[in-house]
Amino acid sequence: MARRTVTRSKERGSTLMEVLPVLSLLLVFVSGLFVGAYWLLAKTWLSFQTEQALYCVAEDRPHCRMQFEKRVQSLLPWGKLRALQLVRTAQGSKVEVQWRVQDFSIQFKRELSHRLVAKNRVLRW
Amino acid sequence: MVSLLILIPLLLTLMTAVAAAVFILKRKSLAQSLCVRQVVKLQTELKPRLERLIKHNREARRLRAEKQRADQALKAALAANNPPAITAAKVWQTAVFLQQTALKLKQQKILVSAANLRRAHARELRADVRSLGVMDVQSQAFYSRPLGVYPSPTTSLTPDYLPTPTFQWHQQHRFRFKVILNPRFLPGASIQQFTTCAASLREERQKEKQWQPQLLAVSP
Repeated sequence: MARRTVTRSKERGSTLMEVLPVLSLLLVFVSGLFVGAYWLLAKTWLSFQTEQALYCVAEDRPHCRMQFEKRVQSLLPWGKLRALQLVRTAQGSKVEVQWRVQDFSIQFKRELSHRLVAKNRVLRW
Repeated sequence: MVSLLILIPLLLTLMTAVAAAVFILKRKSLAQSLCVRQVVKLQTELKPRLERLIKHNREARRLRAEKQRADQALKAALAANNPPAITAAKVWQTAVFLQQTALKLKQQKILVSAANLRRAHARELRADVRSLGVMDVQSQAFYSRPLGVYPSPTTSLTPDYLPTPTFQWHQQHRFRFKVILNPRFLPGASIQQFTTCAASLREERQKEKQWQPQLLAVSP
């Protein structure tokens, strides 16, 4: 009877030892997926909002900067806008934006100019 | 193992949600960019036509003045009952009339060309957005003439064509269409949204009678 007890407790401990590495691998994998998904979403959202800011500035609407910052922050709580330039030019508008989370950054530079549009050289970024 | 079973559907849902969001945003962005491209191109091409039409005003004014002089000469010749003078005045009148007709043709040609441009760009946009499942593109002008100008005086064969007081409003062109945004991997969902864009011409501050395309509205 005593022998069986010892065997059982040995088996219990080894099962836990076997599962731990798998669990940690799984955790790393799932975290990686979440980070990848957030990164993809961030890139797409920033690209979209950069275009909206470009149109906003070209239309000479007020509060384009505030609107851009608000919209970016609403969907991307982790990360900060490091640089943001919204410029109205004679030909249209220019937007330059940099967004950072820890050591990773996403940068976009877009220009809307009717000369480039006429040459079919813009608006499919 | 149990935690794995819970995790898989969660992860799948997350991936699907992110993929759908990316798809929708890219599709929306494409629709907007196609719209803006056509409407800005249209105004860029209307601009030289507008400038040419306005350039003809000088000639129109000269011909109207000459017509007035020719009419007065005929009146005077008739009053004096001078057959050679009457003939000369009538010849002069005819010559002015022919010049005015030629100029009128030029003015009308510009206006017709502008109208054709508006239709052509609407057609181009319809072809561009077909891949987005767009069935119909609403193409809207805001004035009875294809350029934001009015004739003055209206009774003349060759009036001046001047920009209207609300030129930017009258010159604009607007496109509007409904885009199907839902991805194919979400067949049950029905996400549709209107895309609108409008552009016009604005006079440059430093250079009179020089215009640049101006984006008026792009739907968010």
